[in-house]
Amino acid sequence: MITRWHKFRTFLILLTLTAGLIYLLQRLYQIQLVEGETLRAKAKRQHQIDFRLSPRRGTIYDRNKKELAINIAVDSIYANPAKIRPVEGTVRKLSALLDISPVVIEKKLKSDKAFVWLARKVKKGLGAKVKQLSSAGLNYVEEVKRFYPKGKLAAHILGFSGMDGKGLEGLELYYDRYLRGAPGWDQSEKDARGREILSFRNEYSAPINGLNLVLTIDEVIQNIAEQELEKAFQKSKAKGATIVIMEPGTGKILALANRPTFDPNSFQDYLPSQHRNRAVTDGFEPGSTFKIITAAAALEEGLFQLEDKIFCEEGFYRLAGRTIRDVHPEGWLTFKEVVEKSSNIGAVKIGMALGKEKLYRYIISFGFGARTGVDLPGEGKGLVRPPRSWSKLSLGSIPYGQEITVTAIQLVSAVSAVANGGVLMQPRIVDSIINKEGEVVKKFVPRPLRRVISPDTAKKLTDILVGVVDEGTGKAARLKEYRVAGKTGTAQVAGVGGYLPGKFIASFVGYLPADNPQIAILVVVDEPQGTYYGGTVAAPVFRRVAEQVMAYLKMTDNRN
Amino acid sequence: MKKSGYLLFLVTFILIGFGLVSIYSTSAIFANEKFGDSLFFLKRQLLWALLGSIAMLAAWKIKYELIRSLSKPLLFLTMILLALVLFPPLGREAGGARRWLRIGGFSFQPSEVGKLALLIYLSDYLTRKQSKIKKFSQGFLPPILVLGGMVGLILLQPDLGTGLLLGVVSLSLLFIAGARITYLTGLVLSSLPALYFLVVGVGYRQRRILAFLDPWKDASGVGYQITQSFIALGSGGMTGRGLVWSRQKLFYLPASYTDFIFSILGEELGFIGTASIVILFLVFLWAGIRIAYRAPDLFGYLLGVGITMTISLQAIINIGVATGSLPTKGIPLPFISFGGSSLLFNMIGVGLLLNISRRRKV
Repeated sequence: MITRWHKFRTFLILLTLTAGLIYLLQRLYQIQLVEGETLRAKAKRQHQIDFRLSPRRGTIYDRNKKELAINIAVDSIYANPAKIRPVEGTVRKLSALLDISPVVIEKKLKSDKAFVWLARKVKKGLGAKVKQLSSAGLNYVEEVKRFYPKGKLAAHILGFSGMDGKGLEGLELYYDRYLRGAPGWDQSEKDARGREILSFRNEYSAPINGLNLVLTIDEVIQNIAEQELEKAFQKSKAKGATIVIMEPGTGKILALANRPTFDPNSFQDYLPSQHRNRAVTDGFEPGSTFKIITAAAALEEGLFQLEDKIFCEEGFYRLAGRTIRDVHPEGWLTFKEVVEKSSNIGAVKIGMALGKEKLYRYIISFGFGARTGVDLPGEGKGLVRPPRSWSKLSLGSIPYGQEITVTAIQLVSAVSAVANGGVLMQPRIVDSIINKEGEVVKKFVPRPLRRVISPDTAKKLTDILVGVVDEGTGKAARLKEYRVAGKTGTAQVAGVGGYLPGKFIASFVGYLPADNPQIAILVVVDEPQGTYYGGTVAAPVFRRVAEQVMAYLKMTDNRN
Repeated sequence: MKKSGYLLFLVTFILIGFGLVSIYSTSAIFANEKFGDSLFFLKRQLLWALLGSIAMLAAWKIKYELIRSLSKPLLFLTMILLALVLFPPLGREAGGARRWLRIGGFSFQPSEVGKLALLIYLSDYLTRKQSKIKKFSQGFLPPILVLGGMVGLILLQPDLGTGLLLGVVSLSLLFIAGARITYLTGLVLSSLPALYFLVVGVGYRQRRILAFLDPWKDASGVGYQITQSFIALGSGGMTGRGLVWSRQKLFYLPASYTDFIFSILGEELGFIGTASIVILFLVFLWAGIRIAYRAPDLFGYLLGVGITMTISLQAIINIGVATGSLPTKGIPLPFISFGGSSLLFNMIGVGLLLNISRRRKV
């Protein structure tokens, strides 16, 4: 018999279960609609994967389209440790193939992760060999790596880029935004095992490859400059050395090198001090090469003629309680001879005739004390103090290049202005930016900054500087085939509390052919051991470089 | 057959339809990866549904009086099967539990037969002992001993979820049949210490409880399954991502075609889909109880209530777990989750309900 009581008690249970189902409806409403937004965001976070598609970095060419920095295909090898059996044998074989210690490999293979890198960016083809050891547990991906095919050549110009393809030094840094291109993205979704689900791929943008640089540098000239600089650096056991070769008419840098140097392919093995491009970053006291500027100012101002006599005090001249000395004491010298024989006293007298203000104006006009704006990173300004902070002694130092610092790039630019007839050019190292079809995207035309001296003054100054090489301190720079204009410099190195004994910076700056200059060259040797005169340390380097470069230029001119 | 019978029949097949579609959607990728056949699980479930339909038809059409006479043999058979499943060659172990019996190429869960056998036995017993039900040793105790024996065997597998389900349904039937409330509450209270021991004493159950209390606290550890279930449901929103477009089934949510199929369904069909399922079970519950109310005798009444309750309660537990309303229990969603024995015996249950509804009250 089914009684009312049965039905009543059943009804209680029915209500309980009904309540349960209605509660679930409410829960679902809460989760799916009220909290839906938050949970959807969580879902998106765990499903979405973005693949970054790396662009190819631009190539760097010299002015003849020779490759200086390129990208090469490399293999990056990874493992899924759980799938490698037996471990011991594989470790041995991997160690031999990859040239990595078995201990390191074994540690990586004992990881409980499903993915470990064994070797990043190693030689192409190694990946395939490694994969043969265990097709289940070992694999590789192709990547690109920056490669500098010429090794140390032009290291300070090129700089280098890091593992992630970002420019870190040199042109790689300065032109990074052109070279790097733009990454592409592949937005997709993944399953819980991290695999991409192709049917859920929703956005793809192709990477944009970087643009290529064409430099003003000539690989052959750079090579000549580096070799000769290296020889001098080794021979003189110097602390450092720099060479810059510029085309005076355009401000184009044909070669630039420093010692000590480094190999950009393994930049991490060198000290940051070796990475530094001293030619643009470091200021130094130019010494006598600076007399070119003093002389230029005096000639332009019409204060002296070439044959005007200046008394050089027989080598000892007391000024404001200090004695200025000349290495070779002289009595009366012509203006021309003062520069040729590099008399400090003569230079001081010319400087005094100019006065603080005028001398300062020319120094600034020639581009000292300010960045030249060369397209290289980290450029220094040098140190030029304004006349109001000059001491009584300053006029007794600055005219021959002490108490002032300049960068190599400033000095070679200033001398180039004299060489080209008086116009200061903007120094440049990149000629153009081209795309992968070779079309010019951006062209840097030679840019005159200002006229600093008249063509007449420039010509007179060139005559003087030819005299320096023919009859003066720069005889070691003389060439048979060409008239060379130049100036030696031997500066003492300033330290704490005055100039350091036995420490010098020997330099030579000059240009040729004197009547129609094609190249201007600056050679600086920092703290050479033994002989330390600009005329004996730097001038021979200038000559050897000038000789080879002119021969090369003549050859290429004939060919064209 | 009455209106409620038609309704029950209809709801059952709609749910099975939902199930087949969802099983395909949730298992295809996994099946393709593991067996190279994306239809692997769908084919099996279809076969079971076919088998279930035949069994359902049989249960529906057999002589009503015959059901009752099956009571003791079926109980006896169940006990043997439940004992056999505990021993290795026959009982297949999966996930640390022996719940499946392998016979030929098929494996099925004896506890599913157990549900039906226990319901038929209890309905028969409570109908026979109607007058002595208030007594203890002659009324209350014997079915409790049978229940205890069966639940004991099931707990040895171990399968606490099914054990609890059987306990709750059986005690409800005793309550409906008129057993003393004092005996029932006494029994419940005295089993509490055992239950406490079963939960706290077993590491994974204790962790499940902790995960239930605060799933996001350790979302990558013990709370993983439940938080992934929330993410699935939540990303479905109102209308869902659309059939087959679930992301969570891509190995984020484990057991996505069995115990957590409801969450994926919620991701693909949204609140509209999940609410429909809940409402279908609500209709099932009310139609089932209505059939029982019109049963020809007390046996049919109790069996009808028992079957309806068992199926509805499983749905509540399963959805309760998916929505974080209950701690994780391995209870499938009736008619929808992948699983042959569950589908087969639930369909037989529906067949029996239809059989009851066929008979007029005498």
